[in-house]
Amino acid sequence: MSEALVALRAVTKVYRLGEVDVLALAGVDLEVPKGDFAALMGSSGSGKSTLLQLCGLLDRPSSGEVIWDGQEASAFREDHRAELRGKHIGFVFQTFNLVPTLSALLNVEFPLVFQGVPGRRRRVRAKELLTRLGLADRMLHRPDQLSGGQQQRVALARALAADPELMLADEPTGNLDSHAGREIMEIFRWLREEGRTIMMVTHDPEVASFSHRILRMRDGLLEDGA
Amino acid sequence: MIRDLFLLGLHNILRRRTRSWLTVLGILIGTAAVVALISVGQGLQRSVVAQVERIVGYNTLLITPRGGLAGRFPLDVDALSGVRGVQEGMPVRTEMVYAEGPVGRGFLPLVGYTPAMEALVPQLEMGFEEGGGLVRRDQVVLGARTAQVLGAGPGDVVLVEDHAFQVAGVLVRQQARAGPAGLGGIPLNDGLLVQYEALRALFPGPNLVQYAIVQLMPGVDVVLVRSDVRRVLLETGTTGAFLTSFEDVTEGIGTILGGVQAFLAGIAGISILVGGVGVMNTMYTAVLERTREVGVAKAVGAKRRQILLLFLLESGLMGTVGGVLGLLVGLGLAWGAVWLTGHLFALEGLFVPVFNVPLIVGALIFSFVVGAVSGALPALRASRLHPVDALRRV
Repeated sequence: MSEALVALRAVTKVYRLGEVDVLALAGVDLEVPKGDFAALMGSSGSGKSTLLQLCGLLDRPSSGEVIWDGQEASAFREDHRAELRGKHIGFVFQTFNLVPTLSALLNVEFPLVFQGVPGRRRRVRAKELLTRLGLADRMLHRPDQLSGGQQQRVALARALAADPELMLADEPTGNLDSHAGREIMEIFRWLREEGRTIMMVTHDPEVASFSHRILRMRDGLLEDGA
Repeated sequence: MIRDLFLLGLHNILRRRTRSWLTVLGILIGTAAVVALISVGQGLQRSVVAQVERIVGYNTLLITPRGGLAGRFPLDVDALSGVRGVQEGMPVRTEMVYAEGPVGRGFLPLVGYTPAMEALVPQLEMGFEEGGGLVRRDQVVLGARTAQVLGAGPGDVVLVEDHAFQVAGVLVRQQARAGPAGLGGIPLNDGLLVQYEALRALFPGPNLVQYAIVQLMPGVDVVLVRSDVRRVLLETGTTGAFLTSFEDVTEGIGTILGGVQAFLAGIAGISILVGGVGVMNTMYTAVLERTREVGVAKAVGAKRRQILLLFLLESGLMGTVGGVLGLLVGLGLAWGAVWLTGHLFALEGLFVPVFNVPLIVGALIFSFVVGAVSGALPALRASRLHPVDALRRV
C-alpha cells in the first residue's frame, strides 16, 4: 500500500450564497495513495468538484484537515500553496480554460513562466508535450482555431508541463464528442500507466471505467468512505 | 521572469489593439500637451533672456534716470570706474548744439564719445566712410547725414556753439539706433561726436548724463559690486537714478514666466491624470474579462505578486507608449506653434522650443508611473481573486 499523496480528514466546506449557507462537504475522510486513479461520481451538487478543489489546494476547508504529502496543507500561506500547485498538481477542466489570446504553445508554457523556467527550456518542454499529444502541427494555433478535442489536449499538455505528481480532472470529456472523449481517455490511460496519481470527476461510467476505483458522493459525503 | 511577464503583457495589449490604442491616446494627449507647453515656455524664457541681454548685458549694470527717457542725473564717472570690480563706467550724454559747417547749419545732437562705447553700446557701428576717429580734443566726427547737411568732410572746420572743431572723419550710415533697446538710442546718423571731455568743456557744470553702462570685471560677485556701486553713487551725489542688473531683469521675468508655465503645465498635467483614469478603466475591464484567466493562472501556480506584476506591467507599458508618442507629438506641436505664431505675428525666429534631457526623461518616467499607478488598483484586485471563484466565473 503506497503512502497517501493527498488525504482529507473530517473535511467540511460551507459556501455562503447570498443569505444562505450551503454545505458542500459534510465531513469527508479520504486517502489518495500515490499512483491511484480515482473517479469521483455523483449527482449535481453532491460536492464532487468541491472535493477536487480541496485536493488541489485551490480552496481551504471550513473545518478539518487537508494533508498534502504528509503535511497539513490548509495552514499553508497562499503563496506556498500556489507554489505547490504549480510544481505538483495539474488541472484539467471541463471548459478547457485556455488563455484565448495565447497560442497552443504559449498556453502550455504558461505555468512554467510563473515558475521562473527560462524561455528555451519552456519552449522545448512545450513542444515535446504537444508533439506527444499529437498536436505538432497545431502549436501556433490559438484556442479559437482548435476543435474541442484539440483544446483539451492542449489543456492536458499544460497540466503536464511541470511534470506534476497529481492530476486533477473535472469532467474532462464533458464538452467533447465521444470520439474526442476517447482520445482524451487514452491519454489518461498513459498517465495511469506512467504511475501518476489521478483524480477525476465524471458522470460518464465509461470514463470512470478507466480508473482503479470509483468514489461516489452524495449530499457532501462519500458513500463508502475510502 | 519579469521579462516573461512583460512579454505576456505585451501580448495581451497587442491582441486588443483598438482598445489599447484608445487607452494610450489619453496619456498621449496629456503628455503631448505638457511637453509642448514646457518646451515652448522654456524657449520663450530663453529668448526673453537673450533679448534682455541686448538691453543690459550679462555682467553689466545699467544706470537709468528715474524720470524716464527725458530725465538726467549727475554722475561722477571717475568715482564710478574706481569702484572695485568695475572695469569701466561709460556715460551716455547728448546735448543739442548749434553747428555750422561750410555749407549748412542747424541744431544737431552732440554726443560725448568714450572709447568704451565701441565695446559696450549695442549696435554701434564704428566704421568710417571717410577719414578716421577722434584723436584730439578739438576734433569732431560727423554722422553720415550730418556730413551732407553741413557739407563738411575730413579736414573741414565745423563750429559747434561757436567753438571750432576739425572734422576727423565721417561715420558709416548706422543701420539701427545704437544703444540699449528701450533707452531712446544714440542719434549718430544725424549727430556729431566729440571726445567726452570736449563735451564737458562746452557744457561746464555737473555732468548730467542720460544713462550709464557699467562693465564689470569677469567673475565678480555682481550683487556685491552692485551694492558698492550704489554706495559710491550716493556718496558722489548721484540721485534720481535706477541701478539695474541683468539678473534683476531676468529674475523678474523668470519668476513671471515660470509662474505662467507652472500654471499651464499644471493644467496640462490634469489631462494626463484623466488619461490615467482611462488606463484604470481599461484595466478594470481587463481584470473583469480575464477573471477566468487569472483563476487559471493561480491554479497553475501563479503567486499573488506575479499576477499583480503582470497587470502592472501591462498598464505601465500602455502609459509608456503613450508617453513616447506624446513626446513626439509634443515636439511637433511645439515646433508647429512656434512656426505658426512666427508667421502670424511676423516674429520669425523669435524663439525655438527647448527639448532637454530632463524634459524627455521626465515625460517618459511620468507617463510610465501614471500608467502603472492607474493600473495598480485593478491589478491588486486581480491578484486577490480567489482561484475557485475566478474559475467559476462564466
